[in-house]
Amino acid sequence: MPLLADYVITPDVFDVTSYSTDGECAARIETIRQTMLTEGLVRDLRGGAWSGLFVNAEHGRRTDPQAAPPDAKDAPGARAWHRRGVELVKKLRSQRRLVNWPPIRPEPPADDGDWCAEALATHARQPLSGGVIVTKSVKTRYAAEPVVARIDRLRSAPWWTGGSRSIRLPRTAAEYERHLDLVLRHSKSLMFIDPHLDMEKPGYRYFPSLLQQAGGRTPAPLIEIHRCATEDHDPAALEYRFRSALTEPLRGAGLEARVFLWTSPRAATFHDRYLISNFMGILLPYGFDEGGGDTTWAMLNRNVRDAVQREFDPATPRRTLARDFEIPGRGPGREPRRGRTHHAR
Amino acid sequence: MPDEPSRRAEAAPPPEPGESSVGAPKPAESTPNGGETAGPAASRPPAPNPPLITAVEIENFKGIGRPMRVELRPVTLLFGNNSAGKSTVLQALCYAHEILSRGNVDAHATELGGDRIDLGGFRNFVHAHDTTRAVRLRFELNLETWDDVPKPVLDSLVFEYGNATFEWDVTDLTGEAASGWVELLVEARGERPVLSHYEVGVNEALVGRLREREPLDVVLEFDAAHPLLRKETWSGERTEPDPAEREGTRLQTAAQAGRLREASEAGGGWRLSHAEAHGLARALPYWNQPLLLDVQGPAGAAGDDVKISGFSALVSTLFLGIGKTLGDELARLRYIGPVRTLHPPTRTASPPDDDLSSAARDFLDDRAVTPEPRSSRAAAWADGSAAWTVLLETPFMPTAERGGYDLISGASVWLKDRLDTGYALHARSPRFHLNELIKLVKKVEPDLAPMNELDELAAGTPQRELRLVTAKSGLPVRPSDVGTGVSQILPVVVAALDPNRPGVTAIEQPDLHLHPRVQVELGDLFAQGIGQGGVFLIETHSEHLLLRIMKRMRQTSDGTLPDGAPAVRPEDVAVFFVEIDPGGEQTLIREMPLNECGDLVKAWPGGFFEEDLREIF
Repeated sequence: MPLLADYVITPDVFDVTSYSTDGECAARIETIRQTMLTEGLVRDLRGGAWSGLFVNAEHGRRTDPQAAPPDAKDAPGARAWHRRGVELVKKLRSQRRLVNWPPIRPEPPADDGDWCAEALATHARQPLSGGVIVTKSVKTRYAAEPVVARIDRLRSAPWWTGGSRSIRLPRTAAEYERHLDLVLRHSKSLMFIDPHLDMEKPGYRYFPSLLQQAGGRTPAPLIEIHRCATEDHDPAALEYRFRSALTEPLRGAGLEARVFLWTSPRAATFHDRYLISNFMGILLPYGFDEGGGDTTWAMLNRNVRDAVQREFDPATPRRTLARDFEIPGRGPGREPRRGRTHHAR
Repeated sequence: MPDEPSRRAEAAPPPEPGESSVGAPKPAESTPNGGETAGPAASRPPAPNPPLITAVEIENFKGIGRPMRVELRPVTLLFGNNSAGKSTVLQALCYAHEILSRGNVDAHATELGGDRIDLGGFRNFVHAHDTTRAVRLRFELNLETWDDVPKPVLDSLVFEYGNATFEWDVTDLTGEAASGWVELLVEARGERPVLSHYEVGVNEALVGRLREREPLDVVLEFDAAHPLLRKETWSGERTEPDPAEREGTRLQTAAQAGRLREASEAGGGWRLSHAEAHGLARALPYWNQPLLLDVQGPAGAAGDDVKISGFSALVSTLFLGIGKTLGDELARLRYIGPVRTLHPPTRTASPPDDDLSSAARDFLDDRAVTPEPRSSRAAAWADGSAAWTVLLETPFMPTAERGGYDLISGASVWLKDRLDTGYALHARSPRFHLNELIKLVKKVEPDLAPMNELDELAAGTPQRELRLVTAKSGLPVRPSDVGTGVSQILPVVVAALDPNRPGVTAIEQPDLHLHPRVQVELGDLFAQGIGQGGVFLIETHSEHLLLRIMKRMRQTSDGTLPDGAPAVRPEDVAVFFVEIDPGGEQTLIREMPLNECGDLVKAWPGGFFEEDLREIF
């Protein structure tokens, strides 16, 4: 299972009346919060109607999606969304983790079971890498569906990682592309950090096609590539090689990438390899090159992800930017303005 | 948002002679549930000028150690925790003004910052109090509209030698310079800080720098290979230009440039040449005098004086023109500090008491007397009082020259309808009304004495008076009597709407004391200024302000912008996250880019305003 997975949560999960007590509801929602906000995408079914159920509740109103008008307050039959559920949906929206899915079934859902059916319809179109999270009553209707799991028995679902934040995979381009598919297709920003990334090396020749997976959407994601500029690698020569390898693939995918070549007066290189996106950070010990055997990818916690993102920002005091340029870009790269060394003082 | 904007407008006091209406510009339409009517994207008038200052780079100033660059866009937002260094960026601009306009490198209080900024002198503001460091401020400039920026230096520079008079028109560089920079370096020399160099670059290449080698010894280091210096050679051998070559090139390139004494030191690929700069006590030009240079060419070379004068004129144009342009821009900067006064001036100054009769004094004593604005208008912006002065100075009736725009009405509409503060502005002319009354008295009782005292009373009555009135009943109230938020936001509103807004308006905490709903509307207040050629440089903690701007970007992108709402594009907004670098105790300023849909594309450090999530879970 990929480190970033997509899920569906049926509305009953956030309804206090689905549980024996308010406290149980709060506890169940807590079990999925971390996963959803750090390694999850949630399908926003029927063109956003699913998240729309909770919009009024975000403003302190209780609504019934079927019976009440959009601005109804405490209407008859209004559902009792737990505020943790409402807050979770709000954060999923603000983190852009809601993936809009158009309606699949002809009729709008009349109850929670119908929402689950809609989820399964999307699953039939494109398999979920995660699953459908429901409460006991809905699971009863879909007992034979392994992709549907009760929130109180998530640990028994084969697709629920539940805190296992690393995966083992063969070091092949196909596996990389499979495991990074959701990250590449949905992230707003992608930072590829690999000190030795070089498309002239056999292990990296597939890399342009990996980048192309992020294309074909508007707006295009922000792509950054970070690597070392050591004494063995003249920045200008590296730039030429990057441009040669990436210009056409990126242009064809409607993408641009900014390449940063780093050096450091104290430590000649950096060593660790990462993929940092707005959704998550992944530590990749072998980087992005293909090779023999397996490798282990581990997800970073948010603080570490933030630290790595900071460390590779152009403003970082940790190392010196030797050169940066954009591909396709408008012209050759140049020495960066910051950290200039040409002042004769 | 207001639920009944039209009815509230009716409840406002009707305009009278000598009064300003509170009506005027129509805000974006709102629906009762807070939604907005969708319409075509708002068209934007052509920008009069792009902002002159496009970026500022700061090094070794206060919490900033390593160079930090802040690109300025029409709306530039600085976010971050308390004491992270957000204000440092604004203060750096005030300090640069001190240097360029006042030669004050050891600044404590600043002219622009009033009593809101006290830098404490070089030893205090140099990073880590380490006086071996040099404070460096570098301004990147857009010179594409050189014609339109304030006139640099003089119209022409004239040098006379023998029977010949040489005149260099400084505007000849129009179109030659697309971009430029000015860099200031301040470092300690013994016990005192000095401006050790003033550097100018054009079109991403160094022109040169004035460098103070030691007191009273200033040298010009320049790059003789710079295209502008080569094009407008300093040879002085005037030739009649070919008409085809006339544009941009008056003097023919000559080999004399090669006679310049090459500097013994050459760094970073630049071979710098030297010229002694006479008459400068510091590495800063006098803005009204061309540079007097002593270029050490070959001894006895014929015509050296002429060559030197030509070269001096050209270098003066570049050095003085660009620096003066930046200095003027910074001098016009408006800095609004984090706390605005609760007792602003609400009427024009009256004559001194000594000039009034006792009757006039009695009359005035019955009225609330408010502090007069400070002597310096710039400093008065720091505490917000200048905003009230600007309103008092605004003609009540809009004129055709001002495009029919009425600042008082505009600000009133924003206070009442857009920000929904519950108050409007009401301007009136007490002197006008009193004169009308006296005319009536004289007409009815022509023999009533003492008429001269009535006239004197009128003369002592404020010409203009500005009041806040309640939006519903029109009841006048003093600024100090209403909620603090109103007094804090009015200067921000006036600064944002003022048609004479300068190039940079720097505001600390515009959201101070404001309800989140009002903070959201601040996003539109700043966004409506996009395209007017100015920059809002804003230090804030307001998530709501940013959310509105992000929303406008999304609406602009997908064509759902409500009528009257400002269009916002990614190139209009820069968002920076300011923090203390965990490893180095210095300020780190990182840009957090937005895409065309208004999404923050990089992960916001620590999560984007997730305090509510942490509280609920």
